Amino acid sequence: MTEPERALLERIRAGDRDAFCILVERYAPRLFNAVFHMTSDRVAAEDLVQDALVGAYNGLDRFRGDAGFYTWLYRIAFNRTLNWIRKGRGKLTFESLDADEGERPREVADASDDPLARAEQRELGEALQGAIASLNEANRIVFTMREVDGFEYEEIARMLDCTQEAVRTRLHRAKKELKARLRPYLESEVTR
Amino acid sequence: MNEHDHIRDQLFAYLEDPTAHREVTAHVVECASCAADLAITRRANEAFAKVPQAPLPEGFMERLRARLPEEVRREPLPPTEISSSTRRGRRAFWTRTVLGIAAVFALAFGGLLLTMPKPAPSPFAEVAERSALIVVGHDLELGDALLSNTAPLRLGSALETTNHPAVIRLGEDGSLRLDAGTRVRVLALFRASETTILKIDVALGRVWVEDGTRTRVIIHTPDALMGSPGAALDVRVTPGGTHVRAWRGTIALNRLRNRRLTVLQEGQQAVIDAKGTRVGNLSPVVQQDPWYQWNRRLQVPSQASGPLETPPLGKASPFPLPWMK
Repeated sequence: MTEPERALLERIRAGDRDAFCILVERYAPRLFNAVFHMTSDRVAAEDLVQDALVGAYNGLDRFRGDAGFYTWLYRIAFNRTLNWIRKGRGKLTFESLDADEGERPREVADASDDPLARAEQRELGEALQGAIASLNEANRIVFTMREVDGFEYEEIARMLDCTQEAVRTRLHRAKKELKARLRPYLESEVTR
Repeated sequence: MNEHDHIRDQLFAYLEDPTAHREVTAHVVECASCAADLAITRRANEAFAKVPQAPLPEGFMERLRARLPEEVRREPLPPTEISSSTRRGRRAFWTRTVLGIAAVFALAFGGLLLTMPKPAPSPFAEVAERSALIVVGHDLELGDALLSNTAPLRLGSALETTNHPAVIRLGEDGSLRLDAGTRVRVLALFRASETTILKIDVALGRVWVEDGTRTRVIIHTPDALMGSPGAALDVRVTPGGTHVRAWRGTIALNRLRNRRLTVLQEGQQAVIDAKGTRVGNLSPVVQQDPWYQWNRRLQVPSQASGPLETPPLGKASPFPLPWMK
């Protein structure tokens, strides 16, 4: 049985660095995935997540427990990512240009056993990843927060300091654009 | 917007809450085209639920653990994260070291440095220990990646390719392409303002540099120092001398024997050896067929498998190395 989050937090507060690492190991993949999809840049995503985690470790006293620990980490990483994007670092990178040259995304877990279907699923996944990277920053962030991280509209609006309606509008635009870009893959899937 | 466009604009919202969009329900029963689009929209939603996961870079936790201070601090976050006594000591060391290197380098590339962005008041406060995406076995022609890894790039890092070429991506806009059998070592790595400066020592083989506005790559060979602000160049180090080809931009060559500076323009090549520096133009045929395009056919020297020695900082290049004889 994994150690409860609360017990780990107690250990961290007592100065146990290993406890922090145990806790972070649970959330780092999800956090990295979220930041990667916002930045479309693996190197930048690692830098941002690492910086956020070091900042969180140093400033653990600021965690009051009114939100989940992941949400707290997410907000720190998210703010750093937003600053990075606002400084214009997220415009064009090798990662976004060479989406198919680096480490490939994992295949989705529930692809069928049919090799053709799996290949198509993978192709669609890669196309989707490229399409997400091509979204404008605001739409990409909203789409990632909602569809990749599963945050509620209310929470997204609070983090972005905007109305829920604005979040819905951004998400709708993002989905429409992605659908348009993925249409060839989606049509072939529908007509199969 | 006609009726069909109006319906299609609501399809995502309809799938989220069909009861709130009854006109869509009524329309798609009679309109085959919009019904097909609804099926595509549903399929899109399914795809969105399966966005591929980006795996955590290998070694992520080890690198994080190394960055965490041993003692938990409970004071508010400092303005900069480099603030523990260890890091202060390290920073002072790095500052002295990097300033020393910068001073030497300024002599060699005085004119070149003048064109670089003006450093911040504390230009070397942040020592860049960058993580680099190192794609080993990556072939630009075939587009395959046999192995990729994100590794910290720090002073003294020795990088050696074996049977495959490699691409080292330096993050924002810089990359190094190393031929199969190439050995390089990081001699200096620091950040001046927004610019990362990487100085590498090419021990053997060929390096192709493609760097942009925020990364400068300086190449140190037995014969010359080369500055490449925003340029692409091909360097081949052989026991007889150093061969350089400028594919894009201007290359500053500083011959180590007599510190004579030669500027290599785009489309030129140079050989630097005991006889001096000889510059010539690349023939159009060569320009169309740069080395990096066919270097996967390069013969890998069989003796290029010994351990890579790391010289102390500030010392001269470790040539001749055993495999250079």
